[in-house]
Amino acid sequence: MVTEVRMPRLSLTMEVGTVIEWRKAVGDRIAKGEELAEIETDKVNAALEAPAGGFLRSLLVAAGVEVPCDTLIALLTASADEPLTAHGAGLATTTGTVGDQLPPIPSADQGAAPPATVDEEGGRPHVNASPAAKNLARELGVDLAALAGTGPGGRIGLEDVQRAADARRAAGAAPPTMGRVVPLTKMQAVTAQRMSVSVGTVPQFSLQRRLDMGEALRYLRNVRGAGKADERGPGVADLIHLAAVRALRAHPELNASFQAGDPPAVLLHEEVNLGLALALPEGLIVPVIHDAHTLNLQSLAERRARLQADARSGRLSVGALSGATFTVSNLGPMGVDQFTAIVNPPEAAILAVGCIRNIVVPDPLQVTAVIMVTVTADHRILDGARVARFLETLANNLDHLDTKS
Amino acid sequence: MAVELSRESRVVGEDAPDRATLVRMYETMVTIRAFETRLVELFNAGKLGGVLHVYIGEEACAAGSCIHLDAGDYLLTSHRGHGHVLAKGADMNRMMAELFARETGLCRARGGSMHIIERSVGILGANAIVAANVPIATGAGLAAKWRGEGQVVACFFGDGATNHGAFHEGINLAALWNLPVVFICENNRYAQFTPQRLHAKIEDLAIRAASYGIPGVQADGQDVLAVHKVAGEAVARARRGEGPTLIELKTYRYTGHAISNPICAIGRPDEEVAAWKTRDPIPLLREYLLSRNLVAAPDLRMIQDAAAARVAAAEAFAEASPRPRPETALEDVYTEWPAGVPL
Amino acid sequence: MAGGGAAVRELQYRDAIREALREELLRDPAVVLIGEEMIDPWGGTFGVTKGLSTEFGEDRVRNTPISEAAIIGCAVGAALAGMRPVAEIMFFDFIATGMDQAVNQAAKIRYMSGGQVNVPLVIRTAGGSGRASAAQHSQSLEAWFIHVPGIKVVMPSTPYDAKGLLKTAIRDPDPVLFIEHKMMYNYKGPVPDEEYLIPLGVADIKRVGRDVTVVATSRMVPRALAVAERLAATGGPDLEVIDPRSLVPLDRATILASVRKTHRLVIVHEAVERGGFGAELATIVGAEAFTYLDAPIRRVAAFNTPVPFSPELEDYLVPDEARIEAAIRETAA
Repeated sequence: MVTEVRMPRLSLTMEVGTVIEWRKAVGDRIAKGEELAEIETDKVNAALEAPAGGFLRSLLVAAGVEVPCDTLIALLTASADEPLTAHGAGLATTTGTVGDQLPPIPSADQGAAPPATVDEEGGRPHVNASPAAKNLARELGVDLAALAGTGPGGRIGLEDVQRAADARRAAGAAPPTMGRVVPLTKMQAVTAQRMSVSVGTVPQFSLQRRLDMGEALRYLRNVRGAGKADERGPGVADLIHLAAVRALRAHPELNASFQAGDPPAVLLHEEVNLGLALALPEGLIVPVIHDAHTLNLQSLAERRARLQADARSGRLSVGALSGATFTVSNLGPMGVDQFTAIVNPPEAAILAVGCIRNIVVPDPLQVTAVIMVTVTADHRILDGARVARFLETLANNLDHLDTKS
Repeated sequence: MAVELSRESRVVGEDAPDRATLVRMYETMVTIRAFETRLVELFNAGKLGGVLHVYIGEEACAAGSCIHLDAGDYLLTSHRGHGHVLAKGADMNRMMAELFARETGLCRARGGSMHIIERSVGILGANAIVAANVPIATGAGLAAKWRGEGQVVACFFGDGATNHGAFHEGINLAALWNLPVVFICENNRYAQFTPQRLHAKIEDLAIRAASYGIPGVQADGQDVLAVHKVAGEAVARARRGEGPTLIELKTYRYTGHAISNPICAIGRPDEEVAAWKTRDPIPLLREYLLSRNLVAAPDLRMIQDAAAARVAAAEAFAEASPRPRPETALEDVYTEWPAGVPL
Repeated sequence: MAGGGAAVRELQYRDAIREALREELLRDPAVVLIGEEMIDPWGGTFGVTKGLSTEFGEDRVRNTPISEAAIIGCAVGAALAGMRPVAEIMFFDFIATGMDQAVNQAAKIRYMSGGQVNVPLVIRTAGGSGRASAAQHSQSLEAWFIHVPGIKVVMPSTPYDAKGLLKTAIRDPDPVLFIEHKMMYNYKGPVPDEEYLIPLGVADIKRVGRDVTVVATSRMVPRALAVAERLAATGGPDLEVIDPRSLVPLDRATILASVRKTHRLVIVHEAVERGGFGAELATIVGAEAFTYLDAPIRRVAAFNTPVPFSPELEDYLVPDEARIEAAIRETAA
């Protein structure tokens, strides 16, 4: 009996995935649930587990090659030598013996002799390229797996890499530069793509409001008691989160998603899953506090702190990065007074938070702490009035944090 | 050329060396005996590594011949070379340190027992390849002749070496070029473990000299006076520019070929060893000195004690000396090497 | 090469060597030549030492019996005792009968003595095939000696290199094996009038090029250069031909710099391929310039057989221009 292994769809937004590394080789005996490969998605890396036990008979996709979700990527059989030939269309034929090699997979471009083949030993694909070519490819950010080599036996040489880099430059894919070329991290590449889509397809507008933090800060002092603030205890950001979440309950159209269709509709989400934009060295990531509407200030603070810690140590799961219904982006700690964020599709709106400042209010004369916030919203389902009302509620909530929501 | 086969065991009359010479030779023999005996003890106690080829029983050969060599003369010897090296005037402390594999050794612990070299006293080296020192001695003889200052080369080897090609080539060339080299074969009847009758068809190796056209002389290697006589004549010939001599000294080693190998304990008949021990060269000379009232017994005792003290001091020096740092292993492969090029 | 203004003559390889010997005999009274058939009227099997015994006497140019162990051993002893002997081993193959003196004695005595002594001797010998001299008179055995620490190994390919390197070798304080090629004695080349020395451990770029580094030794150098010219004329790869000149010490810096430029290396030597100098150099370059290589390193060497008598068979074994060119084209593909 043949078991199919397909590229999993690990989140609602995942379209494609890449096998980073095959952990098993053709011919290996596999237990159900054993890790077959490490997969890279648009968000995190994850383990691909065997859906059943058996023998790994073929690897249909090379490491490093991006394929759409649901693509057949490997085959397991219950016994070591049952034939595979009858299974599915478009698969390479294999004989019944364990350990057979698979012929190479046609690469994405023109059907020239493909360079990547599955290696006998570790299921790791061997790239037929000279050491100098590999070195240059790394420097120029050229993907060897997509190249056809013109050297003996299809070997990729320096000239092939240089030609590919030149062609890419000529096609305008990368701007000609006199400087140092640094390839984007996977995280940065995802952000680049998603923000392009957002600006390209979602008509967005922004409203700003100044939030008076006086009452909120008094509330916070009471909550904290006499001790100093520490990271795990609630902070100013958590006040904003609590107020925003309560405001979203009152204005569900901001906790929603546009749905194209006939007729177009708005999907109002049941729960508030609060996305928190977080900057890491590798790029921007948005971990999620799920069911934020059920949490009090303390719990919101704890969840936020845990997500931050997990993000920094690379321990975030795919689940922690999915399902956001509304995103908050806070550049207050970095001294930014006010800014405009870009909507994070498919969410309807995003809240950009600036830093807390003391200003002098003339009448009555006093010094008060304020924060500038900006909401950017999807104009297909929101208008200025709705967003303004949301901001009004948000401001009010900050003055009345002690009430149960 | 003449080959004198001697079976005389005692030299008398005008041929006998003077008292001072006799005392010096006695001192040399006793020193060698004390050194080698202590080495065996140290080796069996696990303090010395490698191999040890001990000279006990053959002391008269070294003492009687090396006394004719000046500081400027050259010495080549074999793997069983401690006796010659000490007789030529090697620094005993640094020799012991070499055997203890210390940095202060003559060869900085690079050579060990079989490759003792002390250039400053003309010891061009002990050699671990049997007979390899013969052509090298010829070369040293070439340099001595070229320099023209009357230098002489003494080259010591055993009976086994006389069968080797290098022996033949080296002596032939020294003879042809009339070089000032004295070739001394210490025939201790065994080449490693093989008795002479199983490695050569002839009994008297000195006759091989005839095939090179040089004099061959034989003497009783246990009798230091006999050794002194024949060696003196050969050295004088060489200094006069009359070319090389091959000397065969009939001698015997009281220990096995090498100390480290258990096979060494086997093979020689007990009666044979016992018979040779009755002709121990040191008691033989002592008896000669005492019976002729040349030296008093207490003086001989003093010489003995002094030798023991020297050996003890050498041992203490060696024990206290540092071991070489491992990275120094890369030094002195070459005299000159371009900078920046890996070895 | 020669400085500006110096007069330059066309000399044969053998004459350049003789000049070196003569100049050093004149300069240093400790220099002595030892070997078979060296004295006049023979002047050596290949005529290299002709005239020297007449000029310097048979005490300084010494004829020996057929005794390679004695020849080399005598050189060792003489060197230890203050002379500068230049021993000749008539055919490289014969060194086997003197191996103990070369390998166990000459190469090791300095080290064994803890640096007390040195052995400043030169062993000159004629190697290589091409005279239908068959297996025991035609070998190139430098690989045996690059494997022995303590000895230096030199292989000149031109009269200019031969003279400058031999003078340096004679003045060198360590044992040097100086390997001439019996088929090159007639080769002519420019040699300056003025005295010059070539240091050991310096390679010579005989031809600058862009596309493939070719490292060649001895008789293979002119063959590699001929291939380079033919390829240049027909629009083929542009070769950089490097002659290491001394194998020990080896100028790896020059060779590595060249490979970093061309990304390709072909090594050509007349010695048998297995375990030859090419194997050593290929490993050094593979390790030190790995990421610069755009093609596998190739060796072009004699097939792993003894040298046969028949000229056709003899020529077939040794790399000829066609075989060298084929290897280069394959590397440049």
